[in-house]
Amino acid sequence: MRARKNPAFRRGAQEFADELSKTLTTTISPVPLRCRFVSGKNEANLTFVPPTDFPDRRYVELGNGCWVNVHQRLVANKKNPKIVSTAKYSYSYSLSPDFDHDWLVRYDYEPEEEGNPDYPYPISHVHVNGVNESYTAFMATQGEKKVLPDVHLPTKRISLEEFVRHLIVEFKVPLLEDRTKEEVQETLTMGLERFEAKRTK
Amino acid sequence: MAETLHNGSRNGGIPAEIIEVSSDELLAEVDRGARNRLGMSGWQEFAERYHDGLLPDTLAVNELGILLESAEEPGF
Repeated sequence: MRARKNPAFRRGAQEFADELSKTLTTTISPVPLRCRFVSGKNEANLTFVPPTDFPDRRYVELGNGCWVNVHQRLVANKKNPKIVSTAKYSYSYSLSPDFDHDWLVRYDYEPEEEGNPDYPYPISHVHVNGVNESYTAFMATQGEKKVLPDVHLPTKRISLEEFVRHLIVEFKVPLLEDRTKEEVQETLTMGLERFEAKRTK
Repeated sequence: MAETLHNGSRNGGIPAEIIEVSSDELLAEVDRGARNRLGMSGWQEFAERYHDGLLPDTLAVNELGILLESAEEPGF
């Protein structure tokens, strides 16, 4: 079934994508986001613009040699299709370009799972790619083999600005060369205010 | 092939690049990821196991799952 054309969704999604892209490219990322609208649907996928020689690469290298990925799925709000809703996001940070192996943290938001009896996890959660031998040994006594990185640690729904600030503060991700600490702080504060004012959930 | 609709830059940061893609293009990306990152036979195997809840919540599964959902969403 093809979705009805929804110009309001397109405008809203583009505006949202522009805001996030500008936040990233005035703080820590030299690379903007790409908003991919899916033909015939009120659906958009946000990722970084990939390098031409690696069209499937979604991670961007930061000034400290680490890598970041921002992946967001946007849909038309089911109650008011003119409003853009986030159906899913995943923000992750990797210590090397071997993302599947060396990712460190991953913040996920999955609001469409709310109320799903087959999904017992918090819809906003964080994964940490760590090893704790005591955890592994203890879980084995419980007959559970789930590794620590697969555990869904509850968190609130975080904004992209909070994620960027987290990377700067905790992992010393350097600011873009032409940006002062004060400018970045102002950008993140303004973005966070927009996030709080606009979010529907 | 994706069509570039808008691009540009300003002093206040770089706006998002806007393109339009088909569901088939997204599925092709899921297909490559399923083969290269998960050792599967293709997007169909990934989709079946993803929807049946048989895959662990790993980085690759999560990223490919977002693309799959965008490709499969029927709209309303």
